[in-house]
Amino acid sequence: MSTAFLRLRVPSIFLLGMIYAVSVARGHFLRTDRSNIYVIPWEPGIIPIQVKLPPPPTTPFIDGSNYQASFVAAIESWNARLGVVRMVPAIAAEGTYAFRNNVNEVVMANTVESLAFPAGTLALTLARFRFNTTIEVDIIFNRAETWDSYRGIRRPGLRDFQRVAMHELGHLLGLDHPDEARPPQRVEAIMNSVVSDVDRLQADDITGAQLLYGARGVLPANDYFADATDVTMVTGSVSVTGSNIGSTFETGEPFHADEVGWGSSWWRWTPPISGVYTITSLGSNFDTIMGMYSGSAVNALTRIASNDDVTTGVIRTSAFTASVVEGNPYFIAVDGWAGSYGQITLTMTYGRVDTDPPSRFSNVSTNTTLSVNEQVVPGFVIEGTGNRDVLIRAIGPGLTQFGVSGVLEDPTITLNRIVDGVATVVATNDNWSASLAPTFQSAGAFPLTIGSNDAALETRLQPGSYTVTVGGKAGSSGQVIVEIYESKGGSTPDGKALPSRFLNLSTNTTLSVSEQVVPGFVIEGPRSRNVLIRAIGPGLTQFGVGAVLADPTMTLNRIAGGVASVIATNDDWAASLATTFTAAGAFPLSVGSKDAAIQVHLLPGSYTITVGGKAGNSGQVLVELYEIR
Amino acid sequence: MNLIILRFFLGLVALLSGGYLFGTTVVPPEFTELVNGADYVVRARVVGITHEVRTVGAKSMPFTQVALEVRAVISGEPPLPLVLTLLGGPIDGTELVISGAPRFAVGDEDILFIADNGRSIFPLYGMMHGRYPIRRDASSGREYVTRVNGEPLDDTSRVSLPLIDDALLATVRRAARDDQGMSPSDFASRIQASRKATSSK
Repeated sequence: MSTAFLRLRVPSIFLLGMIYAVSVARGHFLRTDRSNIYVIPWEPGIIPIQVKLPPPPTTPFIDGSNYQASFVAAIESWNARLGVVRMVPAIAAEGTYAFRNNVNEVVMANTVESLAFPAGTLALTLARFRFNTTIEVDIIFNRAETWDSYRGIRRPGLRDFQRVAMHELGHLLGLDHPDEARPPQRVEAIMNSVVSDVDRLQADDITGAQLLYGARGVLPANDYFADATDVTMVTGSVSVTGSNIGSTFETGEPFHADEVGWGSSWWRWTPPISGVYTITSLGSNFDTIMGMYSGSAVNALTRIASNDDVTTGVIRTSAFTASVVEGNPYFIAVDGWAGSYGQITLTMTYGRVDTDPPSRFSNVSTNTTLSVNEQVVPGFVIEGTGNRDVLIRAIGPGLTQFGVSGVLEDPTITLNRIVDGVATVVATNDNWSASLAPTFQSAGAFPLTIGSNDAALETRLQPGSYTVTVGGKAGSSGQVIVEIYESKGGSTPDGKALPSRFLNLSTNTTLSVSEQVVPGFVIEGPRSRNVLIRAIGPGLTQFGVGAVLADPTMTLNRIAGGVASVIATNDDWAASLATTFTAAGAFPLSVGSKDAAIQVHLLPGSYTITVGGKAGNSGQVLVELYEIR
Repeated sequence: MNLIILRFFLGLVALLSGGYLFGTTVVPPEFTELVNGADYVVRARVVGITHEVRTVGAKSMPFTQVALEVRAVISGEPPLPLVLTLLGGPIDGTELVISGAPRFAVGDEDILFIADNGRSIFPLYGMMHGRYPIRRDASSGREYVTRVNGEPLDDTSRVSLPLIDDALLATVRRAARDDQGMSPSDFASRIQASRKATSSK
């Protein structure tokens, strides 16, 4: 053995163990139709199986059984775990199977339909289905093998009949080989195409079977209309999961999408804002039918919308749009077409996701307190092909009307355009011009007292990156709010409207101990908006920034009726967001860094992001807001 | 990861698997068995899939025909045009499948170890162990060979590993940033070398 081997052995085994532990979490590969989406279970009830195996041998198998007893034991190991189906064996004389006789048969044979087993094949399961229901399965064991039945480690030259039977019965139920899945799955499972000493069902096998049939005695809690599961929606899109495995069709229940009802599960949803929503069963693993209703009793419902297939018989996901009123409860039922059943994913998204134009950021603000000679530097990006009229304000004295004290008495603004890292001054302002008052009003900005020392400017900007440097004059310090508005729609040089928009907004500031910066933004439009928000301290060091906020935290609030509701919080960002950073065009962060980031789907409305440092941190922090498309 | 370390892992995996002497459905063949058990080996692309019902004895049975465009003959003398015949397919409004058998789709490109075409229910040697999809690296454009579960194949000794352990080994390789699959031409050369070595004995 070389020394290289000796050096590697311990860490390699450790690595092996780690990988095994991690990958065990995946698995249960289900047989699907050609769509690779829809599973093919049996109808609920009894699955009769004709066991036509060879008669008991003169000498019993090692475990004392014979072919029949060993096979029945394999059946019972599955039955103990199944919800809405149960396999019932009937022992018959040894014989052959008949294809397309609607009888499930188990036989021993040398060939399959006069054709050879492929090399190395011990047994085969032939499954026949109509639409998405299995209607016949035949299991053929290879007679050329030497069979026995025993537990534990394998014995040379003897195939353990029972564990192979368990595997083939898994196929009968609708499971496939997890080790042939893409991406590959490493799970301990009787359903792997090649087994080791696994001689009984593993957790992954059971999970897979119960995804198809549920667990014994466990039915959906939302089977009945009266037991509808509440859906809470605080962001622009919400997904819930469940199943209709074992659900029933109630007396008086309407036929959803005018299709015969079989077994539905119910959700109750109260929209957070009025408008049009898209509701879809995308992600469900069976052919759904779906309806949405108002009303208070299952036999007295008013249909709002319903759908069977997005494209009849082709895209069998159900989806519809519906106009709803904030605060009203709506009931959504998901059933299966022609008795189909399975796992349900139900998603509600604000807006018509196919046709509505995207919502946009219409306003962003930053609220912070500046020390003497300190500056705050919000930035933004305008994307598109047209110019955009932008109103920028730095308000100190104007905050006193809201009872704020300790304001920055005389703020100034410098607007820069950034090209190839070089800043060029576009506009500046010290004290705002009274001529802007009508613009404040049209932009929805609160009014300022004529002659105040607040700063404001309006300018037409071409697409690009900009920063707004705000500070106090003559050694002043105090609280200031910086606001950036779209003051008019985007336009081409000849005045035609174009869909250019804010793509990214940011704030760069330095926080003292316990201090917070509170950027805000507004989303307007008929659809929800997927955004990425980051609070970056340690990540700034890659750009040579010193004295950064060591461990920033953020809280995202939605402001409605003057009341803030927490939408999301984050301390340290999740590595899974790295691909989102790339998609958004955001610079990368070191995995495991103490920066904060969240991705969230937001409804139109007003939001604030409260960013501070943990445990007495102070230093520079960059708060960024990106649109994700 | 260098060759010594890879061999160590191969040995370790074999040790931990305790000798996977048989499988529930299929016994993975050794590479030489795979090469010599196949009637011919081709690099081919699926250009068409059709279904038909044939009479077998007194029964009507559904079969699937997979038409292949042979890009290279690696071993043996395949008939041209080459069409694989698989048991299974639609019949009378129902569909028959062999559970766990690989599925073909138009456009798939593989190195296929074909055996008993028309005489076996599935004409690949060792079923899933007789199929090696060819992938192309998105950034470099380099072609490489994978196993049926998509894991790059960089050593012919790996064909005899159960897929579950091959996936484990591939994870180790990825951790070591050494997950290059062998090129189709390299794999073909090794197939031809193995065939030649066997025939010269």
